[in-house]
Amino acid sequence: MNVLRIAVLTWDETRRARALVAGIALTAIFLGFFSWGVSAAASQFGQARPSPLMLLASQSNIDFASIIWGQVLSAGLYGVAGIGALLAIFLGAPSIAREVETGTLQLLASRPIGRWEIVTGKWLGGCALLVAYVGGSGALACASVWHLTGYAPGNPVLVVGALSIQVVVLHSLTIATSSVLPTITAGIVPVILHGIAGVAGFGERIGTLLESAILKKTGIIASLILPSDVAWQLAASQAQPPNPLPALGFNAPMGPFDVISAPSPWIAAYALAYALACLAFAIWRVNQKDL
Amino acid sequence: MGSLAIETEGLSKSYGRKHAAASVSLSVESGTVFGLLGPNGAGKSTTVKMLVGLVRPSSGMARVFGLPPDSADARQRLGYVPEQFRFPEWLRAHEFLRFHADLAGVSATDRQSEVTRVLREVGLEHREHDQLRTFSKGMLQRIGIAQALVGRPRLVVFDEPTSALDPIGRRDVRDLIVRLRSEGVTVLLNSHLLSEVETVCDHVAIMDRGRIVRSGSMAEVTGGHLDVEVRCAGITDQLVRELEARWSVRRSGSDDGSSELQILTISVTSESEAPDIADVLVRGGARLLAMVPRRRTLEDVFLETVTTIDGDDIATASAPR
Repeated sequence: MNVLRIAVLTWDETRRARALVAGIALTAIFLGFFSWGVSAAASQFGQARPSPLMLLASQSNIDFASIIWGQVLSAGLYGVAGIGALLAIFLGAPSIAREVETGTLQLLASRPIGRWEIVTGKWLGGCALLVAYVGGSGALACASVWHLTGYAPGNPVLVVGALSIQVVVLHSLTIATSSVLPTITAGIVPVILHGIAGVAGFGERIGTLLESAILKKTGIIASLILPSDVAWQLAASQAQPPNPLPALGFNAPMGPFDVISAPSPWIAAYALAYALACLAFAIWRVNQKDL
Repeated sequence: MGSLAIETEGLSKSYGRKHAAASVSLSVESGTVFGLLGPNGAGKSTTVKMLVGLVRPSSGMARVFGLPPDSADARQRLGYVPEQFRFPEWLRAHEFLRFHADLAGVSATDRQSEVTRVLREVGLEHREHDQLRTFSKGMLQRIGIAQALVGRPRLVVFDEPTSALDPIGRRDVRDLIVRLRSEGVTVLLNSHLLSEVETVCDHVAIMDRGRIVRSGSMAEVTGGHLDVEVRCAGITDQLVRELEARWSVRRSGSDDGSSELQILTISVTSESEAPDIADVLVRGGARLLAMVPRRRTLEDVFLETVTTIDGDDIATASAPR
């Protein structure tokens, strides 16, 4: 029960601090621009002269439109995932470190409540907020593309679920860093790690194209160290139709957002276990802490 | 002798080679007001934090109502006003207190009446629906005290409760502490304001450099005796000898140069002896002009204690209980 009380307080704090309002407003602007872009592209699609690639696709019975709209949807989701990742870090960094610095945690911890309940409540409140954010934004992006182009991913719930895993992983990692580091450093570390994971993810995709074992391995190791980018890859793979190009003899991606080889669904389980391990570490660390 | 609200034995906390608290032994009886004094860095806050379960002792034992301080049962009986903490200022006063009432285990049916009660206790009932960000520093300190009173704790630990309050606010807090004691609540008061401690505390302990260097009832700590300053004329040697037979007497000349006027400083164990002194003087033919009882203040004792003890003395200083 106390976990829920702290979770509600965390949710309420974000709502009343206007962070949520600002986030929603800016996301609405982003999705507005995105929808306007999709609308413009949809109105021009089919009017332009077919490119050689389109003609080839047409001759091979490939749904070229699905490939294009899958890429467009992935672009929108990439924006949602990026904002979600930053929010996950910004919300998590002060959650413990700042509360210790300001003495707020001391006041809570002097109550008949376990420290694990405080940490878990903060984690739960933050995750619920972030999942609601990426869930809502991701669903709106999918709905916008479907409404304007008629394209919908095979399973939109999996898309949104994978995006949610990404923010949960990052938020959990940031809460863990917030339990050991000062507020600013607690935010900087996950930003850098997420950046490294993203670059390593690109490296893995290039490695797949070039059939470079070392690049692929680097990407896999980075995914294990921080499974945030791989969660995004999972979302992107679910947002797009299967890549038909290898069947035509081209070992090439469908576009800039194609993941080439979809991550194993087991990576989702690994990412969730990773998030829980981060939470367990934060609880252990706060339990050890002199406040 | 009531049961003990707080009991520590050899309680110590070290950070590396620095000893924040060294072998602190305390006994605080239920229903009393106990003052913890000491200069900055003496280890008072560390000791208080160990007693409310925020800091883990390096060694030694601490019990709150016979329970480990970090247990939920002990905290159920405890209200704590930290020295410095920032409120979630986006909350309204009643929301903040409701939240703490929930954490303190107050039932949903009693919650609102409890919030109203503690707001009234600290004189903020008219600000119930205001956001904490609109409160002055003194009001925030009052609301901090109010949250500690939620759930009617049996022990309230005040860490510098009046530092941001004006004289009226300080008097209100003193009155509140006295009221809590009358209701059987134990109060641990950590304060730099010695006059405040002297006014309300039954027992005190003075800490310096991590150790308790003096403790006891207020009377024991301040020496247990009074000085009565007597101004009179017509004092004879015979009369002085008569006084010296019963009390310790210091004789000094008049402060206006008059040979007639004499000032005597007489040590007594209780103010009730003052009429006896007057009786002896008047019967002996002296003219009594004034009698002023002067108690040795806590400030006198405090300054004497913390300035005379150097490092070597501390190592051998006893830690009285």
